[in-house]
Amino acid sequence: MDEVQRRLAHIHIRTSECKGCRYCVEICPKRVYEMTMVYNEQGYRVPRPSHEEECIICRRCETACPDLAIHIEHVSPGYRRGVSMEVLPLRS
Amino acid sequence: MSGGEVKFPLDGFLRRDRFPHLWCQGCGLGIILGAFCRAVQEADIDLDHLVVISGIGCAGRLPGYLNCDTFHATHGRAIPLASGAKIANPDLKVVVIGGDGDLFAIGGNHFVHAARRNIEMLVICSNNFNYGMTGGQLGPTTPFRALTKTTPFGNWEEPLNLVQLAAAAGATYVARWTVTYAQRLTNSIEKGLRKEGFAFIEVVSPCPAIYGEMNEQGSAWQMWEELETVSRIQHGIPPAEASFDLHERIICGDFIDRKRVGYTLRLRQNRDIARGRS
Repeated sequence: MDEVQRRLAHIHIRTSECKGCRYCVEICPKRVYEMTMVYNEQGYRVPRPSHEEECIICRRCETACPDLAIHIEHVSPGYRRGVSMEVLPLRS
Repeated sequence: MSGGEVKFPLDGFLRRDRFPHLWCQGCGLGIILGAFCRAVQEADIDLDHLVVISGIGCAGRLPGYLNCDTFHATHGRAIPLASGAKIANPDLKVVVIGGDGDLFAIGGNHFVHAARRNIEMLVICSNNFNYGMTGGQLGPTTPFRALTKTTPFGNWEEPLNLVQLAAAAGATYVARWTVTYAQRLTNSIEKGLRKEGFAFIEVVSPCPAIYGEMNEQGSAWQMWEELETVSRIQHGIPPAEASFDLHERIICGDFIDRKRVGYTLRLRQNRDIARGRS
């Protein structure tokens, strides 16, 4: 069971560079992000990866972020670019 | 989780001290910047041999965030400068990034003739349907019936099909993407960077703050969703048939990929002929 609950990614957000466009919140297939009521120095509401353990490292948020403020750090070894093969054995 | 101390993978390609950038909330130019950096990383291009040149406009500010040799040219004259850089030093990898107004309205004829001569460069055009930086005036790519600051009753001109123009002028690689296809855009830019010839990539980019507001397209995410709904991928169809209608259908894909002898190569051959004769 530990294997199943293993977290694949650490999500880093540079909140000071975020402009609150919501792209990451809406685009995520696993609904990892949520908008907070926190405002950054520029006056924009910033998102938060509240369900980080759900992340499958599809990197849609990373490539879609217009402010280049998201970095997905994969914590499990053997990850390859594109589809994460790490998720496949967990389903069986 | 704040990542102030964590090093991001693109930090080496960017002048991070200039961030946050000046573009509006949800602007597609940031996505193009990220895709370009990833493509440079994938194509393994030495930053000392990369020159990025731009004209005026929102997209003209893009090279300012890149950690390589860049030049901010006068309005519409990015391609002549890039031609000069490439002819003077053919070892350089030259990229022009500009908006639709800069590359096709003010600098339109430069584009046509650079494509005709097949000067080895990559031109990335960020198409946001209007002149964003000056307040949203009518441009050559504004869709039919769209509202802008200078056409408050709707645009009655037909927009220009950029990929068709590039293909007709003789570009060796022609592609169109929307920013919603960020990964495919990265692969396409990588392909364009490797191409020995005139490569052109049109990137349809949402302008939520100015164009979207004038045309009541809602928030940045609503514009993104609409782009995602109307865009389809059809590789290799004739560019004349690649329709570009913001509300009906935007055809994306690689349209042209062909080989032609490059300009600097021709120039060197011609120089040898001239020297042999003298």
